[in-house]
Amino acid sequence: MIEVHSSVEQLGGYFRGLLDDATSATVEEHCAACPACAARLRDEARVELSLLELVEGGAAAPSLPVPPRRVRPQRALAWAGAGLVLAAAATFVLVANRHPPVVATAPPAMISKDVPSSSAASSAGVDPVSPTEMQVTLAEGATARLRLPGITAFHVDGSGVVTPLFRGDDVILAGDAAGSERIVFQTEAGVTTVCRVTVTVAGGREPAHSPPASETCARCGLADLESFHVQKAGVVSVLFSGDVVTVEAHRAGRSAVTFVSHTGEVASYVFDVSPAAPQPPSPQPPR
Amino acid sequence: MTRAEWDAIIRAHDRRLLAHLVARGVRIDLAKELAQEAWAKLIEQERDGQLRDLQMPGLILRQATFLALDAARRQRWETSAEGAPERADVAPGIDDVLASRSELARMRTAFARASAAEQRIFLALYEQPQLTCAQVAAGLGLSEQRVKQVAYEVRKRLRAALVEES
Repeated sequence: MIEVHSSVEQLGGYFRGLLDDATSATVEEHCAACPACAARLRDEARVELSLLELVEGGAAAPSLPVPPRRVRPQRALAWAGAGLVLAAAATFVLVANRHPPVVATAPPAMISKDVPSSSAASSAGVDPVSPTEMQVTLAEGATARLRLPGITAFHVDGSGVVTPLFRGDDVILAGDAAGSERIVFQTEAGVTTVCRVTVTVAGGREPAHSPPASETCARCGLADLESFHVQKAGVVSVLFSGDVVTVEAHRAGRSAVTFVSHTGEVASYVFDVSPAAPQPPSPQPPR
Repeated sequence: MTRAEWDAIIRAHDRRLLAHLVARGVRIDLAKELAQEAWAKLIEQERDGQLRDLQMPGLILRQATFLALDAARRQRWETSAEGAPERADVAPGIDDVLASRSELARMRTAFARASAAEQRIFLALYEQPQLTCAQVAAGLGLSEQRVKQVAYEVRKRLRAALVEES
């Protein structure tokens, strides 16, 4: 059998539909079986995404001045859709350049119960101004990472460019230019919050840091959770580290939660939710 | 939402979805299956009233990424007893996928060097992903072969600009 690899043109034209149906099918069939061409197709997929970004970002205006890039997406992990309502674990973790993560602050409207103390925030140069504003002070040339666990999606609207980000993405704040960015958060519950982050550059001052927060699950004791899933009413929802399951008191029923850690440990819990009986009206205080 | 409306959305975003998955190391045949499953789930969610608004392409990309991660984990668990399994790198650094500002700047510069006609054809093709190459060509009053030729040529130059120095 003669092995015919896909050509650069075929691989390059595949994603935009430049190939006829028969050639497309041939490319798919070949790349499914040929690791070398699969790797080349992967490269072409990356190029294709860059081309789309170029076109959507205004390819026709190359002469426009390029604003300094102070906020950029760093990492895309995953989006965990779940049948249950996932609360926004609005624990903002600010990771200073090459330092362990330090706890920053979060808009109070999105704070959940387990939000750590914001005392470390000020030491990191992060100051809450209002529920929808944050100030970050960075040493000149330093960078900080805004980590947003529990947020299903958000986008950064900076310098006129909207960058969509997903769960697990980090926002990099760079201390090379003072300014502000508008970040729009969207949670699985449909909550949308707009926060303006203002970066101030302070020459020579390094952001302080505190030890990283423990990632041990309070319920199962497993450290460094990789994923867990919830079984409820016959529906299994797979979740990932950083997700939060909110139990709604008005919905009675039984749910099972299974945790799996990076080390392969597994722990399962079954819990029943019973709505509390209506509380009698509290007695009037004596006058 | 009607079937026709869904078809239009799928036409507009399906190829980007495939590129998104393949760029993350998902094999093309599996990527097609995952894409189909992701669309099916999204349609079902919309029919059940679970989606307040359809923000594309972010919504379908997240849905498919979730499915890909789930599939990769399942495969890893199922084959854990047989040694290290092959797994799709579905959660790489986004730096690997999104062009950096400097890369985009290089691509813009390369694009600016293309002739006005080439730019017009290339933009018409990439700004209307829901259209086939033949439809774009008809809209421009050109032959399909000419549109493809320009697309390949411009893409080749932009690709070269993208990978240089990287």
